[in-house]
Amino acid sequence: MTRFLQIVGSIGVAVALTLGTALITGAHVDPTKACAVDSSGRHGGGHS
Amino acid sequence: MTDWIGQLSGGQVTSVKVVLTSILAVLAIYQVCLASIFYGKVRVPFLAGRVAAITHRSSGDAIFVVIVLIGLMCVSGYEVRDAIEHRGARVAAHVVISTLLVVVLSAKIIVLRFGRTRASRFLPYIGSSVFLLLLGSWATSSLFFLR
Repeated sequence: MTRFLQIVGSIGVAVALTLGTALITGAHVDPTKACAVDSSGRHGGGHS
Repeated sequence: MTDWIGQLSGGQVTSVKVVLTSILAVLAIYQVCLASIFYGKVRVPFLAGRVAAITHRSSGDAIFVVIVLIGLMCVSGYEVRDAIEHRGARVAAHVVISTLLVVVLSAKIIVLRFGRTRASRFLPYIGSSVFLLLLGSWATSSLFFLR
């Protein structure tokens, strides 16, 4: 039981880190630097 | 492939990549923490080494899938050769580091699945290389797009 809780907890930490990072970085992406998709489907203006 | 990735990301390929690579960078730090526990370098009362190893392996499998997905987004969504020629040292460094990341990560998986005890001795070094390359890949791409 303890081992099961440890597995759930450690994977839960990974999930929490994922969601937290997504929320924080999603709010801080600079859309003026991000590239737009042109009509050909290719991206211009930068590379990430 | 380009259309599919464009639809999948709602036309915001770069923004999606920035978020995904930032998540990977944070998870890479978590992976190092887990590795420190199951190699016995750090002892914590609430997490056994065996459990840390299981979580490290399962998270690592998920991370590998996302890295491959991001790589496909890069190759299909950008003119890599043009980017290297016209976008300067940052992009060139990003391409080199990211290519090395895929190679070293693949080597790690091969050693994990098929390696014997002698090869397994190198896993901490390969893992550290993967961690540094992942952070390098993030620093040369996503960091530029964050404010």
